[in-house]
Amino acid sequence: MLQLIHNENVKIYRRLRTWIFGALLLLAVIAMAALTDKASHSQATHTSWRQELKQENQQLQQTLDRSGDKLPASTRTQLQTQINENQYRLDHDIPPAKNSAWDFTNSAASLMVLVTLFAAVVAADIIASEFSSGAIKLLLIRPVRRSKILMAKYAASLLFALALIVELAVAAWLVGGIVFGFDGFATPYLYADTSGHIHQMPMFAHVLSTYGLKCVNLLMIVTISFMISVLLRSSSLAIAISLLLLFVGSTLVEVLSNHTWVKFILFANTDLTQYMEGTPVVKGMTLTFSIIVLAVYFVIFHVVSWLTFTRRDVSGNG
Amino acid sequence: MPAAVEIRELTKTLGRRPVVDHLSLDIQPGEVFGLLGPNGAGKTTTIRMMVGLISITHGHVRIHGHDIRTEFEEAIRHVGAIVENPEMYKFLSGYDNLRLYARMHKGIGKDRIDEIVRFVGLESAIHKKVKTYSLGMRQRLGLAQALLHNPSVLILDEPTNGLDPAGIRELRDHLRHLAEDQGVAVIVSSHLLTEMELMCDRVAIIQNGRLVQVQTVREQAHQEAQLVEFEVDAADIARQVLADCGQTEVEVSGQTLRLAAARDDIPEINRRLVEHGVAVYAIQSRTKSLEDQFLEVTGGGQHAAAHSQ
Ligand SMILES: Nc1ncnc2c1ncn2[C@@H]1O[C@H](COP(=O)(O)OP(=O)(O)OP(=O)(O)O)[C@@H](O)[C@H]1O
Ligand SMILES: [Mg+2]
Repeated sequence: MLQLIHNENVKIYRRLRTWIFGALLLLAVIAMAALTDKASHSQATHTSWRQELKQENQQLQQTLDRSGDKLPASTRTQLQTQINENQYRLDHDIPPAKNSAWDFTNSAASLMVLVTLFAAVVAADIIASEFSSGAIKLLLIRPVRRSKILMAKYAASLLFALALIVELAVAAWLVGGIVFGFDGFATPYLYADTSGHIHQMPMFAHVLSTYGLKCVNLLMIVTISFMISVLLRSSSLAIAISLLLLFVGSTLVEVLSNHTWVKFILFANTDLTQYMEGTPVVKGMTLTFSIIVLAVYFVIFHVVSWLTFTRRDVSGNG
Repeated sequence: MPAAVEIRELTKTLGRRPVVDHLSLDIQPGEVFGLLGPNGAGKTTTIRMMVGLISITHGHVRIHGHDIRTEFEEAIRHVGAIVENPEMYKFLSGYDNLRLYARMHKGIGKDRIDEIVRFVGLESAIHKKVKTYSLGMRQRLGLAQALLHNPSVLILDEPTNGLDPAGIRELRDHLRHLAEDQGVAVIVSSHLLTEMELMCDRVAIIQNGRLVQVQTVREQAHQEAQLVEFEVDAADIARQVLADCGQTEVEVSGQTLRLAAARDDIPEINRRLVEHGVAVYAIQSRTKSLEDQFLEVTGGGQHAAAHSQ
């Protein structure tokens, strides 16, 4: 089995495309650091942060008192949360987070979009390309069952995604550290719960959870792309359809969000951050609900892939 | 000796049409066996079923007694094959391709890879990317991957496709060597008749998915009746002589007599003619080639199809 995964890795990493993806991700991290750098310089210095926070809170409170009734409820909550957070900082002597390697690594999690994109391309290609080229024939006449080959290919797709995540996180931490300094590990991360109360958690845990939640989305996208790869014999078509799903999926869910059945669509559930911050796409959705829906989809994708791949007639060169 | 490959009632139906129709064959160790048939006869489909690439509608294939469907791993372990064109990973070198396949079998080391590369004569190009290979070089690499694990059953679909005459000659010698010296059962398919005649011990003629006949190539030339022409000075006397010794089916045209005789009988006929004072100027044996037989059994209409590549 390890030999089979090794073979799949050889096929992935000996391709120029793979290294272009890696390079693009690195460039994106650097570009992001450069842009953040400029933005942070335009901000005021943090020398007298107590003063500033106090001032800010006064202003916010005034806005709330004066025109609170006219503002929409969500904006009111936002303002109140901001006030609470500032107050928490003053009370616990925690200066506002300034940019640091950790902070930047956390923001760089937004580049998981790229990781997902690249991983989807590789997963969509990994079986379809063998059919397009005809190489599948020489692969399947070995003393190895088809299900094992399928597993090895899925494992290799996930390993590639993992490699990209590690690349992203390490690159972000290093670039962030070089540009903003490596401190900030001790600074806790503050967040508000649904009732507006402020809590703190270690920065490291926060970064991990940010990446972890995005990985759920990544895992589902890689799995669906992999299934598409099994179903289609043309690698370009498989890639195109996977990317289409990736881009159109979440938009579609938003557009249709006033129908309740939308909550059963995969893409309404892939973004678990909706339960941590903000509101769910469809009212009444819970974290447990999403996890169950995701698990069901996950199993279906695998069963479809397995049934198709182990039974299919391998004939023709397309 | 048990058959290396046992094919029984093998049938593949695509849509409504049987593409391979109740085909039964036994292929012995140490023989080069040909599947001969015009385009679309079902040769590739048969081979695909033999190596488990496509499902079998009816019947079975056993390799050294192991059913390809129910004991796939155990059966395919003995098989090396090329199915249609040997497509490999173009972005890898020939050597890296072989390494991939080597990892999927047990106990194939670097030595074995080097050995097989030398055997197929690909030393100079083996570290170049496959996308730079010519068709003939790809065939050689295809043969290398098929032989890598010392299979006792070698199945090659149209192996001469893309090879130059010297390459075809070399392949023929290789296959002969594998069959005779190592006891490998070699199965080749082709629609090129003359080639099959030179390469194979036995040839199965297939048409529309059905087995038309199995022909032994080498023996046939010696024992079976073939057309022989005698050019003589006195056709009438000669005819009488032949009639006296039981040859009545003689066709005379001018000074030439045409009759069916086994190769072993020719010297005897000649001696009799000379004894009776008939001068023999020439004896020509018109070997009924496999091609003639092929066209005979498949019908002349297939002629064009059989020769188009
Ligand atoms: N996937 C398929 N679907 C439908 N029909 C098919 C399929 N594959 C092959 N056939 C048909 O099966 C028949 C046999 O095809 P096959 O490839 O086995 O012929 P062949 O003897 O190898 O011919 P050739 O000499 O051209 O290689 C053909 O008539 C072909 O049209
Ligand atoms: Mg064919």
